[in-house]
Amino acid sequence: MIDPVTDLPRPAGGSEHLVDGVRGVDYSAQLIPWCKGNSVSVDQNTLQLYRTLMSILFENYRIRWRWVDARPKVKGIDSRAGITAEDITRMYGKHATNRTRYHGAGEPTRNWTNAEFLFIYLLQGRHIRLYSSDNKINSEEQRIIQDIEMGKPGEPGWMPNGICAQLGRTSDSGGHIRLNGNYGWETYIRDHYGAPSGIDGVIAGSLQSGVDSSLKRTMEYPLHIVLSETLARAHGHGSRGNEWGKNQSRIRREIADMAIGGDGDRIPLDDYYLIFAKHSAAHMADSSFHRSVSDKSAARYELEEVAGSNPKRWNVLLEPEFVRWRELRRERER
Amino acid sequence: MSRVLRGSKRKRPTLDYALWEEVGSKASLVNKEQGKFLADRDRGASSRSNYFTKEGRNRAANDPTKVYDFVSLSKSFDPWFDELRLNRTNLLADIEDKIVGMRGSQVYFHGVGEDWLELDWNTLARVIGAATANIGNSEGWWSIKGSDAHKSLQFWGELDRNIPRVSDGMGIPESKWENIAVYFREHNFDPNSEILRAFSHRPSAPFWKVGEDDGVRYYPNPLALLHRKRLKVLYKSQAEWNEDVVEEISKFHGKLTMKLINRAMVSLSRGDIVDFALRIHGVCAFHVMRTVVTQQKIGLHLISNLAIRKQTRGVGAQNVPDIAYHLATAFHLAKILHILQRSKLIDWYTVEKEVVDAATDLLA
Repeated sequence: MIDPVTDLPRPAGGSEHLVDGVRGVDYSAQLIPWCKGNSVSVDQNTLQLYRTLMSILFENYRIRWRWVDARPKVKGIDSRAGITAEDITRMYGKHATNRTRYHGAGEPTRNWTNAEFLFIYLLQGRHIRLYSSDNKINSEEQRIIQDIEMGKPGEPGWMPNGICAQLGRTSDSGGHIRLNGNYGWETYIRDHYGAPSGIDGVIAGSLQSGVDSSLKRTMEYPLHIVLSETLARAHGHGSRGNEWGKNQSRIRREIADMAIGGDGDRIPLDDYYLIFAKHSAAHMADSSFHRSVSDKSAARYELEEVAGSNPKRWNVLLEPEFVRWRELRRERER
Repeated sequence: MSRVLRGSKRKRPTLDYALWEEVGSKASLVNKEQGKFLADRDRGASSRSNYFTKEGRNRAANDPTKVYDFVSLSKSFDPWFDELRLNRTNLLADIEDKIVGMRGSQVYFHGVGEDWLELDWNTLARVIGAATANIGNSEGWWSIKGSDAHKSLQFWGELDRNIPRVSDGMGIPESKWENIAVYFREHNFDPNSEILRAFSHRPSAPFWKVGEDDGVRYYPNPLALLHRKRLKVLYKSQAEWNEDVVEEISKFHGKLTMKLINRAMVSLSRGDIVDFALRIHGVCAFHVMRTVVTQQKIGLHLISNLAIRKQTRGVGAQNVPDIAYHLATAFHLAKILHILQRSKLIDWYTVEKEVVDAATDLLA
């Protein structure tokens, strides 16, 4: 989403759209394949916190940008565009436990610890910034980033020095975290929620209402939700090697690898079932096959009968973006 | 691994189609009494059930003939699959004609197209899973109550109380929606996560977000609202059914849901395919919760397995020993099958083991 020449975010409107010599984002090259490969089927509760916080980060930012679009002279991007300690407390309760038979008083709660994990990743990756007031960067941000890079969040006693603690300490002055607009997320928000290019009288990516909702968006896939799910999976139950959905990832890799090593875009249905069975997930094979109906970011499969086969055989046709995800990943691994 | 397909055929799970083609004509239907007999006696996780083993089971207490059980999605669904295969274009036109007069449909269903012809089997299977869990609970078979469906009821009820115009199909302004979203997020449910469903499949999604001149609005799916009305009417009339005791909804919603799915199937059997499709889309759209994994084992994986194999490959019935092994649900499988059989959602057969073994040997 960043132009490598200018190091600035690309304009909204997609790869066909050119503004001052810079093209919009070509989502089909990397980001859509990434969604197809990383979207998982995990129950809602498992991913709830990550999806919710990520969703708020993007929704709040979008709402404020819409406000700015409508009234360009208004300073609309402030703490309301992000997440504050009050927001987290309202949703997940106090940050520290009361004393019970399960834990001592004052320990960080699991929800706050999970939120901290999400924020650590996002801050380290420059996806968000930490503010101490409406528009002033928190002076502790750099120290926290350095600590993260030194691996300190994995050590006991991190929470009082972390991002959530800073949010708590600066809550009176408007301390918050919000998306880093310079990182390209604004472009994505405009492409995902806003107007596509090519509509008369409407700027591509405009977040103003009145644009026909049935029009195809520049980026139809909820990249931020898939990212939150991916982070949730990686964090799992909070311990190393305990990630959620690992089995599904293995299955997907194996399916794509088999296609790449064979016909390129298909595998025999028998092999599709056997891969699921090999990973003790035979019961999920059929629901996975159909999951793209209710989840657009899931890989789409189609079935094709092998002509003249007796007994009948079928092939599973894989979506090109899904195969591309695996190819890109293998290139990176090499 | 298959308990029924042996040797090298274990590597050919898709022989399920050919196997039923071979043995289907020799199958006997398991009636409700036989189903109840098995349900009352089945114990333990499905993979360890005494009934669904590779050795087969005795046909009856007084008949030691070994049989395998087979199940399929009820034949009552066949007209839907036939119509999809033979009459897609007309069916789509009929659905669009019917929907055009429905209040709120012009906005919500604008530009839907071919999605009308795709049932969201995975969501329907979750609904059925929650309903089955609830019915089994009322029988005293397990403690799981099918809370996903109950939470969906609560969500729509709460929404109706907060914004009464929702029930009239009016859009919710963004500011009000945000207030509601915050309330539900505080109660461990994010309605925005369900908005995403509409991007993939609008007929079976609960809400659709629309940009209008006066701001963004969230429109409820008119079919979900219709389903809610039907549920309310049915709940109010429950006392009239066989003089049942009126129970609180958390103990009863499974029966209500199954009854409404049955009514959709009655429409199907009368040739009103459009009404069937719209009712089923409504059932799915109403279901907004997807949290309880245990329900998914019964619903999502079992029902979607039967439905998707039938829809994509025309598989008639599948052997239960393999399903029991792979499903590995802690629910007693015979009880689940009995509930689904009673609800007329599946057909349950037996075939003599000898016949199945001979057919398996013949398969190349």
